[in-house]
Amino acid sequence: MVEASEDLVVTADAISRGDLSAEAATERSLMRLEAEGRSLGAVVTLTPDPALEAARACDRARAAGRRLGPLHGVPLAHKDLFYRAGRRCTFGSPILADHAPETTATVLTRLDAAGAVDLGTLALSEFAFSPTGYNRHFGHPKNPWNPAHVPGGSSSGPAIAVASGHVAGALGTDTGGSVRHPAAACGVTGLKPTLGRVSRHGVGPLSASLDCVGPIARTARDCARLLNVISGADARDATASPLAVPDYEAGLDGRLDGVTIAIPQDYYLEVLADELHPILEESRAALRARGARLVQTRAPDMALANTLGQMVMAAEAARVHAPWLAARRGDYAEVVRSRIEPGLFVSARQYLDSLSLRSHVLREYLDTAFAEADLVHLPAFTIPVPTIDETTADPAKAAPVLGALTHCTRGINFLGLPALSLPAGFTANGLPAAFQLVGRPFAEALLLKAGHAFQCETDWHRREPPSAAAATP
Amino acid sequence: MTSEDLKRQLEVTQGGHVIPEAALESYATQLDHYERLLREAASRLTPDDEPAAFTAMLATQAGPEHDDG
Repeated sequence: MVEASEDLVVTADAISRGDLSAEAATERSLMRLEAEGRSLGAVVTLTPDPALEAARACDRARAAGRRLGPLHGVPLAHKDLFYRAGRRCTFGSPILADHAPETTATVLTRLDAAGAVDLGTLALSEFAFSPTGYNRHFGHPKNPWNPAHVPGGSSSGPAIAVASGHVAGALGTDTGGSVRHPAAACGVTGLKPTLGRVSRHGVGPLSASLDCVGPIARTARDCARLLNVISGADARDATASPLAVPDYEAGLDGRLDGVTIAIPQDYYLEVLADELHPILEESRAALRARGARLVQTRAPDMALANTLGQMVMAAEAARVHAPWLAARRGDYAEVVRSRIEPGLFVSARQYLDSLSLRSHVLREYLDTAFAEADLVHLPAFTIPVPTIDETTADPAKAAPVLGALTHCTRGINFLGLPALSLPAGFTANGLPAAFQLVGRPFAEALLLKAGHAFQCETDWHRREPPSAAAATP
Repeated sequence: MTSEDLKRQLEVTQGGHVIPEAALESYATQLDHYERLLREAASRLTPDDEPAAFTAMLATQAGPEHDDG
């Protein structure tokens, strides 16, 4: 009997062949989430009974010669922002501690149909705010590489669980970097798809114009498998794109011949910590070794995109939160409340102007940062992964640290572009370092091809944090 | 914009408010900053610009692998 591997595709293939039972894989994931996952603050709600029943059904189906889909029997768990009918979904807030939606998110329905086993829900920042994972109510989740450091947020639980090998994949959401931050901080791979590529029906809203659902997994190939399953038009979400979904795994050949990758200067690199420069240069060398051509381009000033995005996010979040802010203001952490409440005062003209400027800002970005290139190479963070204390003890000192975490991610959401965070080494504090590749609209296939090629050349995604290494049989 | 402006706005839109003065002052400063930046940028806009242009632009940029059939 083969033990469950942390690779989603390898696990899926092992279950399909009968080398690993879905029930054994599910029992193992549940056990590890219950023990290590909870101690790292990664878990909200586990549902072992329906999970084990679903796993046994997968095993029965396989014994009968039926394969349910490309995720047959693979145990997964997701950020506690995805609805499953009848299961509580807290959004990371005590205000919704007893919230049990009556509908199931389209992405969960699609994962079910592909044969995945849903284990329960994973931790997030309060209402999906915070790039660190901070949650005043449920406790600060811990980075599996060093529990004194932040795991990144807001999809902190998914990244911790994947990095620790508790699950092979998980869904998060990304409104300003919330898939990419925790993926980068925990040393795993995270994809923010193009706005509209993945349905948001049944996903707790933060900002309708910015929210994206994306996978976190160990490898780009794993992310491709998950994206294949969850993408596409949805009659229950008018904002989901009707564009056809290509096979994202089909193009993963390890080569980047003919692909040009831009390195925008100025805004992204002028504030980069010294020790991250050689790490990013090594990542570019690895891409070059796989056939990519790298060119320097100019980055536009992203202050405009960031501010417009902030205004849109605040206005849309305020619409969702206005009743709760009026009735239960004290149940918000100050840092969360102070990001939503300004939205109560954004005028209709300001909101519509911000959204109308979006196509202009996107055009400028495509013309300058991309120029003639196919992809853009950016830092994930501009500083090493900070400690929890550095981001919570003193608000005045924490502000620039938090800004450094979102400096390279937030504007990408306003642009609606797809972006992939890839582990690329370690900083002197022993924490993972990462970079992002950003694609043109709906260029997820090329992004994943580039990510896979990078991971054929490097093994940073194979490194395991101490807790996972200790648990490996 | 002042905290008094924001209080009046809350009276109209929410029928009252529970936001402390210090927070309102901070928000007023932040909103002034937004407005300054927006005014500079809005010179790029024409009456024909609308939010939906953005999603249309995303779709037109998609590669041929997204074509049906």
